[in-house]
Amino acid sequence: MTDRITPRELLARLGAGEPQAGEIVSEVRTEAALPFFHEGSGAPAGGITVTGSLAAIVSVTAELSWQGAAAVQDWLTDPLPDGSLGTNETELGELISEGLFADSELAGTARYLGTFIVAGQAKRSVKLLIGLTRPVSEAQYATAWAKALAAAKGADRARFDRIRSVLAMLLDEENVKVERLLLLSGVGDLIGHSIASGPAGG
Amino acid sequence: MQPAFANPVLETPPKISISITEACPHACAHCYSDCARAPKAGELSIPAWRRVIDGLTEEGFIQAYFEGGEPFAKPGFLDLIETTAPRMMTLVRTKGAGLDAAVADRLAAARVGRVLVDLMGADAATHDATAGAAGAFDQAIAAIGHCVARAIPVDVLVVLTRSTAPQLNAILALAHGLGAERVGILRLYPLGRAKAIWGGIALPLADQMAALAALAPPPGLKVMQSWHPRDQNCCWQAAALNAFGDMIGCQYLREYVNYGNIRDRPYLDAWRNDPLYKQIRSGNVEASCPDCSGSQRSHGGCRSTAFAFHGRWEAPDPFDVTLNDGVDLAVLPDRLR
Amino acid sequence: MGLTLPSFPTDCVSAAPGLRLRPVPEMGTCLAYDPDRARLHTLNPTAWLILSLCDGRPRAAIAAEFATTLRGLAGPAPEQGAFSRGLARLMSLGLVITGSPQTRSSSPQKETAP
Repeated sequence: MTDRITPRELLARLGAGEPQAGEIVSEVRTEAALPFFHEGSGAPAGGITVTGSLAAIVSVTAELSWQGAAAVQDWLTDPLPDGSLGTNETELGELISEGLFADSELAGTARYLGTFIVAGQAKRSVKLLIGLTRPVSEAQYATAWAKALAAAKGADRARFDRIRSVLAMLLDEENVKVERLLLLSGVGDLIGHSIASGPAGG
Repeated sequence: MQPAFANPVLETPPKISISITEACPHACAHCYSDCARAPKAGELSIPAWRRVIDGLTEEGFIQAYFEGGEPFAKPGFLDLIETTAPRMMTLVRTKGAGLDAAVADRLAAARVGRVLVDLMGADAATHDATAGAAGAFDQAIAAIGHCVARAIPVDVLVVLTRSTAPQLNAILALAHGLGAERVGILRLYPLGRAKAIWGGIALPLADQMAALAALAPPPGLKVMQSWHPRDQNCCWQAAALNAFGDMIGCQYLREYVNYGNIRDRPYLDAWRNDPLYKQIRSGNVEASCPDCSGSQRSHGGCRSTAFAFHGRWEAPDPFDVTLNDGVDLAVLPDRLR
Repeated sequence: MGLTLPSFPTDCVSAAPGLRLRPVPEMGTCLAYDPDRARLHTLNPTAWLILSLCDGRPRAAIAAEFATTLRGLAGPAPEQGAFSRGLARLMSLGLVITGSPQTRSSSPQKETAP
């Protein structure tokens, strides 16, 4: 009727992945509902656990399709391929909490707070939150990521590829939004006196 | 304000359920449509259904699920199947009445995708007592055999009641032995004649969960159920027509909603513009079970049973153990009696 | 129906006759109904692209257009061999057959994309 879409347009919107096709058999328990989603993929971490006070939060928000959000959720909850305890999210958390600012005076100041799916009407926001116990400059933050990813790539290529795949899902979207939020009560008074001296180390 | 919960959003629905008639040769004690042997006045004719199928095809529907009443009691139903199956994945739910070898031949030739047969017990005595018709069990068993023999995939459906609960495993074994691929265990809905006998056939939730926990399906038989932790709010993809052409979203909402008649209004118009339809699909509910929403990607569970027991579209589904909140499912609210 | 994979780049491949495609972009998928086998399938965008390119041309020409299309997209590309794997999968499901459209009894139905 209207709004015809071609595979090229859908690929441009969602990206190209490994071709997948399969028979879809409707369910019989709910009036022949079509199973668009696989069962058994649990929800990602449901709460934020923070040890120590935070000075800032980096919020990475990607507006994704339901399928895209589901793919992120699946990635987060997939068990680690080597059979060790934990999920892909465990590795992502370790990279952020232990890899960012490693070997610098800011080592240990980053906290992986979680990845959350925020439901909207037509789209779904996937929000990755990183806490920082000390405020840092934008350049320091970018450098920390570059170094952490390079170190991860050198140490374990398979692990790096896994983490890169989810970052690509979140960051390759045109409408990803990164916000840096200073939490004033964590580092000073409500007018931000201790912030006025500038970011730590910078 | 953004709702607390939201279901997946389909711009247009890909599948539809069609209750083709409210005629049925059986007299099932819990019949949701209060069927009679003769079609009811105002049911759409087969030529009218052909036009409806044409329109639904144009609107993008790619799967049609026919049920009744008893679909094979509708004169001309097979003709309709033969015009539908080349365009849509076609499923037929039946009690087996009228599905003899000749009919099965036509279903196979028409390329019907799947036949779903209701069993109301694992033996003739139990089944026939509920169906209100001697020989109903034998008809159902024969219908399964006719389809399996022609390589038409068959599922068995069973409604969980006081009489079927003790026989569930026997029904699973029977279905498997007959060649069914899957068994769907369905909840009992307070609709039609089921309301009048509710206290005699409905189980408390704890007993329902115990019956499900005791399931021991034979290897290779897939069993599907819609209780915790797989309580789905499938309204987000639900489209349905009753025998009169009324758009009702889901067959289990038949007593609660009417979005207009398909002869007066395209289905997509109702889908896109009816405020109640949009509200019911939205998943904007008061409470969501984390386990069920995690596995099903939808919130609040079945809207029909939620509305039946609470009278609110946003209410939690009392068939979910985490959302039940003390509702006794063996007792109907006064409103429904 | 036996599975027949095209062995040579010159083999022609086509979408199966009578297929009805129904994109569901909001779910990132395209549904494909095969009335001959009474089966419904779901295809991700990459598999849908391969299917859409199978119009009776030789496999090598389709593979070239597949590669050209993917090069025009932002983001990571599928791993090498994706076209062959995707085509084999579509053929195993009966959604793609060898031969040109002229040799078939009917043509795919038009896409329905409401």
